Amino acid sequence: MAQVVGQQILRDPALFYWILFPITIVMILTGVLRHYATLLLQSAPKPLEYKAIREQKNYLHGINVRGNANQIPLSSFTTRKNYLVAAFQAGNFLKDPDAQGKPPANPMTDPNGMDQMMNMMKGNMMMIVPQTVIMGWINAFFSGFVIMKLPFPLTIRFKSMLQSGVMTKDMDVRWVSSLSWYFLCLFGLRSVFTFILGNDNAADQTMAQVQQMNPQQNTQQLFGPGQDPAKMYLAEAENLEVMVQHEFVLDGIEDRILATV
Amino acid sequence: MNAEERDLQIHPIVPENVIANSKTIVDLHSLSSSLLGIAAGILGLESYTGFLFYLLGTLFVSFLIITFPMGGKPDVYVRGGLKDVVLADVTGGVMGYVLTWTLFFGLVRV
Amino acid sequence: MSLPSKLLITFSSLLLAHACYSAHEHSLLSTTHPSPSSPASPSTSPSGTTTTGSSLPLDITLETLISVSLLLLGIVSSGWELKPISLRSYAGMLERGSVFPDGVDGKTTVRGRGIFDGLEDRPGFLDIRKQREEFAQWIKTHGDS
Repeated sequence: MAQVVGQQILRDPALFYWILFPITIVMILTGVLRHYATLLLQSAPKPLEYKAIREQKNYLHGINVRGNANQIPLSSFTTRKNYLVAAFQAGNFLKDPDAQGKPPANPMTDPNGMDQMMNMMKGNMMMIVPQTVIMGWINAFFSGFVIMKLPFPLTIRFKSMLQSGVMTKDMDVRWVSSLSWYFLCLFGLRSVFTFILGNDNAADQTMAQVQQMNPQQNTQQLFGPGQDPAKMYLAEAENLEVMVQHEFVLDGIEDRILATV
Repeated sequence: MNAEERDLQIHPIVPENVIANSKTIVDLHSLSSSLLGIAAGILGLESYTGFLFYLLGTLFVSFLIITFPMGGKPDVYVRGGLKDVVLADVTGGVMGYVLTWTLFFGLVRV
Repeated sequence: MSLPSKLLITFSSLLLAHACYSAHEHSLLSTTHPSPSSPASPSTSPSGTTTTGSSLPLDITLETLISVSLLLLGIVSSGWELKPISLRSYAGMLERGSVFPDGVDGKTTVRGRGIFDGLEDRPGFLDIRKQREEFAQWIKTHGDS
């Protein structure tokens, strides 16, 4: 395809007023709406029953002891380690000790798992529904125009995507239709949302996707559905047991202090 | 325990402050990349020139960040020192930059 | 936000808006009067294809660059607070009262409290019987489910 070096197209400024600005404003407002809708739809995490809380907190206790072992003297650490390892291996903190060895419950039937699935579903819906609706809206109303010229060249592969609805074969790929402005808005509006809604907003899809990758991060559910707490306890006991290297932070503190004086 | 871990144990860091600082830096970078995009659009930069402009602008902003809020000592406020100030949230910054760049490139030129 | 940076931001935003407007007008002028003798495009290129960046007059270019630099300067220098990440300097600042942790109002809090503040004001007396009773009640209602 022979491309003219400086293809020039004279555009009506009305294209900007009636396509570019509406799309931008709709995208921003949708982001704001999605943010608040997500806030509204978030169900408060259900209070767990006390045995489940005990199970989680003791597991965390083990992890914390392991992580901060160097902050306490060796004797204190050994005492804690012995206690925790014995308790973990005996399964003292398990929610239902009888369930060891049984296959994990089906997450679809587990009510806690259901809750989590519902939350994920809601998050997904909040992402997908507006995206589909806006894309359909843009395709229905604004397809077939060239509205702007990208400031950077693209390969020819993008032509079918970015010039959809424009039946001109020889046009430079840099001239794009309204759909590509939609894509630019989709990816580039995050900084705008940061300043409208603050840092932890739910308006942006990329952030939402990251959060879905690790849903355990901010939920109460430490043990995800399908994980066997008994096995995790045993693994943690082994970790504690194996951790032989212990070096108290205050070892040699006198020399260090005197060195700074 | 290797030397790095030991150093971390002896001189602990405050994770909340690390997160807050990197958030502030990312905020500054995304705001400034939008502004740089406006400038690039007005100047009518194209392709490589535009990305080069972004690179220079980001370096300039990093220099300003190190000079003003940090007082010339990036190691006090960021784990990785200079590198983390310059490279904070590059992808998000480029996206915001391209958005405003395209917008003003189209708006200014009839 | 301090007054000088506020002024700087306002001024440079105006300057940037003006640069944008001028660039727009310039491109309008050069497309509606595409005479090769126009001062902005001295090159003898065919009319109508000269709206590239190089045709922008020098004063608009300079205005844009200067205004953006000033704007960035104003934004970055407008009181963004960073906290030191090493615990010992941060804790020292807390104890000296020159900085406060998040969610703590600097005016109502007593100065000079460190990170181990919680250890300092534990209550002297706990009615342990009452608490145990409450706990037993709670177990009765919430346990065995």
